[in-house]
Amino acid sequence: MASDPPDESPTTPFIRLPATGDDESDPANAPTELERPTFRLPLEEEPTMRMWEDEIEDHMTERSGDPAHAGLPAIDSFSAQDTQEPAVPARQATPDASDLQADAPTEQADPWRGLHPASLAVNLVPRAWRTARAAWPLLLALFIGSGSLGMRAADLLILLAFAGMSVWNTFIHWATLRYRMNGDRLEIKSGLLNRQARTIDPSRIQNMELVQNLFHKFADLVELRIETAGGTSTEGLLSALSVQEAKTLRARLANVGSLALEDESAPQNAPILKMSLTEILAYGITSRTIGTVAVLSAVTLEVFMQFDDEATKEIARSVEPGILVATILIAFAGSWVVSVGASFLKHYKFQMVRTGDSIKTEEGLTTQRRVEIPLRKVQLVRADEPLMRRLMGYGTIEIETAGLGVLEGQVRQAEGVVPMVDRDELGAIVQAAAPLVETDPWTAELKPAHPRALWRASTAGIIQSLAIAIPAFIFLDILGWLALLLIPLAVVNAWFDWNWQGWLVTDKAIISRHGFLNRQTYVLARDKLQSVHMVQGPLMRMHDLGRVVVRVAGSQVSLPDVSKEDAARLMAKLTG
Amino acid sequence: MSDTNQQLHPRAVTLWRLQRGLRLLIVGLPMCAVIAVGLSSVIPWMAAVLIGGVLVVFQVGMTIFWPTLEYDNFRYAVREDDLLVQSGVIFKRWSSIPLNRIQHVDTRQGPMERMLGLSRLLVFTAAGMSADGSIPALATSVAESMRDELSRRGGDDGV
Repeated sequence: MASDPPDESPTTPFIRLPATGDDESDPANAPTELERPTFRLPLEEEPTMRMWEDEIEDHMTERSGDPAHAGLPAIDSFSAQDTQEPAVPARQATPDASDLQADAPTEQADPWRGLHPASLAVNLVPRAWRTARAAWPLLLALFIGSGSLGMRAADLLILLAFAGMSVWNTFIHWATLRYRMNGDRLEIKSGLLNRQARTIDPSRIQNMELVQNLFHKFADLVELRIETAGGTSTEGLLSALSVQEAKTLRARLANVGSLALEDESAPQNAPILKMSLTEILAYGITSRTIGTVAVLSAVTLEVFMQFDDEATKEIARSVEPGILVATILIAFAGSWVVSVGASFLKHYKFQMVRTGDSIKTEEGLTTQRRVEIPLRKVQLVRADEPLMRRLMGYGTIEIETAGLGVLEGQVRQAEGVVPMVDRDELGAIVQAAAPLVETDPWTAELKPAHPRALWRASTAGIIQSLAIAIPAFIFLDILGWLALLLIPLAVVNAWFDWNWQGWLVTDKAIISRHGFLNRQTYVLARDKLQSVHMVQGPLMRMHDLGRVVVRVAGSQVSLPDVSKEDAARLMAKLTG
Repeated sequence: MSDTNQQLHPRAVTLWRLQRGLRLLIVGLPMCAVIAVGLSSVIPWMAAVLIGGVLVVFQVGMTIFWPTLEYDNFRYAVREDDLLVQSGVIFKRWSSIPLNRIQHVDTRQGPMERMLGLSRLLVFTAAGMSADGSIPALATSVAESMRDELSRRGGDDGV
């Protein structure tokens, strides 16, 4: 093919060594790649455009009987017609005998399968959208900004680099990812220059997520995300498979693993919980409004600055207090609309079902997400009751496993989120997610924090607010006086927090509750404890207090402060 | 293993003094100098030198005396079901790591530790490396036998 990228040429010295000491290789044709000796990755040929066209055609065909495996050591994963193309340089390397052995299909090993051919096109659109969203200030500056030509060129370059990188990553994921079931294990390999091979033991799967955005839906595709414990990224990302293939894979994983096998013919269990439209909208209204407003205002300011620096200053000078207040109110209203809309899109038709020993949630209007968590992988259940939501009689429940997922570029703690739960049902949902717990934190009587803990919290609050107030008082005039208000506020805050704290340790469970503005209740089964700690800072020592901290895989939970003696007793009980 | 509270190897104090001393030379003293020079442009140079001097004296004092306090406040015990570690001079901490939750145990040695014949013991659970479950400055032979002993106990890891 004439349009081969330059680094495809056989003369390129790109990470190559002359093949020495390898009997099976033809040095002219197949130089050995530098490779870690322990890394037993079946090597793949460098894809060229031509090959990928072929690949699309016979993508889904099985290759287990492929002669390439046995006869042609230089190329192991592609169909025979590829190997007959002399124009395609066999840039990759000759696996040595043991590599071949490892890759040779055994009785249980399925053939390697790739992603669905259509998924490249499908993934590029949302990827481009996400890139554009991340880089929109640049885009704005590019199109309507008043920067110099050089500045615009720089912006354009950065933008192109962004876009190029994200397209490239998507392409590489699509082009190089191969997966198969090898006996009981799921094997995934991917990467072009940095190759990666991963074996996932299905019984170690912490949770599995099926995501289907609008484009996936049209193409009948689904993105599969498999989380295992540890790590900061999704361990098994398959984006995307056909729905049928995903189902098959899931069923095979379920057969050997921890996920409850879904019997397609069996009648679906009735959902434990469904969210009504009102609840979805209410969830949007009670979501982080103030933060959104702050972000929106900052962004608006930024936009104005991009337009014209002088004009912004002019506006700032001429603005009247009334207009300012009105603007802020509009911003609030706007952010409410935004977060209600987001909630509607994200949580539309939320429902939670228990199938066998798994919990499943399903939600979303344009992008549908289905999360499946095996019950015995649940490490911690947290109930968030922010003031607004609490006043409406609701709370949010988050189910955490040892897997750390990544959601839209951010590490998220909770793998399963039940956005709006009626106060009367909070206990039941916690029970459903952590059956071992057997205690309802909303009906059981929690033990309070120690009275002296209020003194500790107040002292700590006063010290903290002094650290802000003293410099403010010295350096700012009116604001400095206002800063003094922080001190009584700290005490009030300490009291509110202290008054609503609670804890309970039963034979089976540990419950801890903190906070007034954002009340959080942590529930965990003692079965899952990894370690128990007791801490005591100087202020706590002054008041003879102790605090018990427990750790589970993926999180840690502090109990409210109790007397040192009680804390020691509690620790002995938990470790005994 | 003994059920009673054990202390670190006495050479721990030497090790920590050396480590702190090295840090003092590389980071601490230059920083004091920078602060003093920086201040001298704002306040009279005598006062700046005084402040710098106080900082130096404080840091030297920390280097000499703090390791002793740390040593006196550190205890550990391998009990029947758990490893107990107690540490901290101002912020105190007691940690209990159930033996059946231990995933693996490392011993590590830096150059200074090797010089003094000491090793660190790091205990890992499924909750990640438990910094509280690490025991610094044990005699290498003790650390190694503890490592072997602790890593032998297996069990359900709760994950």
